[in-house]
Amino acid sequence: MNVIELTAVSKTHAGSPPVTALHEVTLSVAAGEFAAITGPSGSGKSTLLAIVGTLERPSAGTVRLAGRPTDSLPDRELCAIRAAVIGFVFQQFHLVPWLTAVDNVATALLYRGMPAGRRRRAATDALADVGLAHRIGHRPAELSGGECQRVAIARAMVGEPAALLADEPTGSLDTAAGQGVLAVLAELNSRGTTVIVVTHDPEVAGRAGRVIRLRDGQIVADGSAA
Amino acid sequence: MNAATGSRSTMRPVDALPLAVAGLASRPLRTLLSAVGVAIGIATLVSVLGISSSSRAQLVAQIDALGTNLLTVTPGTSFSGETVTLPATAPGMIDRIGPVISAAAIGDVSASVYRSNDVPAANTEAITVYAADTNLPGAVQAQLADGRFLTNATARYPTVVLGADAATALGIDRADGSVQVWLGNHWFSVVGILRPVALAPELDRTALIGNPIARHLLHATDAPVEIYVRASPASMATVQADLPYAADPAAPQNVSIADPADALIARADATAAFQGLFLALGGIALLIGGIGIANIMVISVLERQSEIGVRRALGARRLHIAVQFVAEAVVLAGLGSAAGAVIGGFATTVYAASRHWAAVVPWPVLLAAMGLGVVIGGLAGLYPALRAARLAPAEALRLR
Repeated sequence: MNVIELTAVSKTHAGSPPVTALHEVTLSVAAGEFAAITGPSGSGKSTLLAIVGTLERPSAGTVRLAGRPTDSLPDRELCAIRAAVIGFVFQQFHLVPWLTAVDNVATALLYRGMPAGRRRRAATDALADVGLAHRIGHRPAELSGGECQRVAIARAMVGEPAALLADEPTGSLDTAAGQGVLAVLAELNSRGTTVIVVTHDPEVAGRAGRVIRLRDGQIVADGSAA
Repeated sequence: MNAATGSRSTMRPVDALPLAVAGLASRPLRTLLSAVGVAIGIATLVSVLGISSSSRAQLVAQIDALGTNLLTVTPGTSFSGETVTLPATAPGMIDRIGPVISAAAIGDVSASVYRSNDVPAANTEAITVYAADTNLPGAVQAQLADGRFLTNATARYPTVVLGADAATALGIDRADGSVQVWLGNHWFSVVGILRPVALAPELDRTALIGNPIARHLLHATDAPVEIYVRASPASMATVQADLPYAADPAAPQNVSIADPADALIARADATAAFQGLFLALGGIALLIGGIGIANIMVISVLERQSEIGVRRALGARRLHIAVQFVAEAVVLAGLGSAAGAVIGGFATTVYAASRHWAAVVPWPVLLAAMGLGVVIGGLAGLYPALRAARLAPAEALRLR
């Protein structure tokens, strides 16, 4: 079964002149895949990730998540999908600086109407899963880059989404920390989570079972990593 | 998978408050400074209203202590608009009404009083000379600062009792009979000086002489200009109804009855109208405080784009984002108004203590002030919250 199905998706950003970020992209990602999206800067990688994650609506084409078309859904429904089906990880972590690691992770459950106590317990467990059980009370400024990214992964995973979308997850990290983060992603994938990583790091792409190359908003190559 | 179709994006209302508090607590100095404007406004409103309430409560307590069973009878105006006079028999008639405890009259004397016969006639110091009944102090609860009031004996002789302001104006502070004043071209000995009369402040600037000497020496008529009636508190309504007929049976419609306690409180309320100016100032401070909060919230939204984007990516709806920012503004203004209410209550207490009053800060004022603060916070937070809610998540997360 396909977690993600894009059919002839185009995205044009308004402006003068309008910028076409994606041009008729058709793509399916099956449950349990570890896919890397690569390509040069400006090739449309991040836009593709935003559209897959319902953070952007396509200008044309259809997006199906978990078999369900999303194009005609109101914003309210898209939010519910993001809360339940998709976890995001960003290059700049985007942790809330004044919240502790556990509170940052618990925020992912805030919009599911879960009581505070249960949110904290789940967040504590998720942090233990990424090896940060000893850091739950620390704020992002007190954590290393690798630790911050692992907090962000815990935040993405605490709601047990079907798919994890990561935008350059190792882009702000040194090699060792990057390796650690990659190991966590691979571990999640091995437990059944679909992982899609946007990267231009060949090493990250090498870890993925499938590499999708973008250029100028179009898929130019799609195959297993060789 | 199944979670996708079944679940909704929802936030428990109880989570809004801790969310707002955490956001504000992350910038304590900024929170403090932006709450100050609202605090000043609320403190002004609370203290202005608190001080005027305390002052009114003090006056009411003072009047209550003196007894609210005093009525005054004065000649009214006739149907044709002429000023009428009360018959000389009025005090005696009134005294015969059952529940009346005492009735004391003052009557006009066409004379002026001077410190000595060298003072030019025009320098009257606005002191009025009245012929007074000897039971006047009992009726109006007047007390003597020095000397004694007129007695049946002294009322026959050229003796005078001065009101508090009159004594000050004439520069007299002794009433042992050694001081004389020039009254209606005769020397009168000062035998008494009154303390200020709370229930009849019009007596403070008078010189009171006896009825017999007024008639004999100054050719005064017996027509009373004002009769002070002390009656049994339980029968005030009956007495009030009977008074016109007793005072002037031939023309009861020409008699005017007043309750000086009511008049004094009404006057105090009227002079409190100047507080409108201070209330307006407080309102302006509140407005500026609200604008300050709106301003700081707009800045906050700009600074927190990534947080807003992340929350949207985690499933927050626009409504949830808006609620978060409105809640922050409301908590901010609520903190300001709570501080303002405390400061205003404290200011009232200090002011009242300095005047030896009991401090009165009405609960409705405190509640209204808090409510006003919260409303202002909500209004101030509305526009920034809408901006935050409208932010495109992909843009906020720099995924474009």
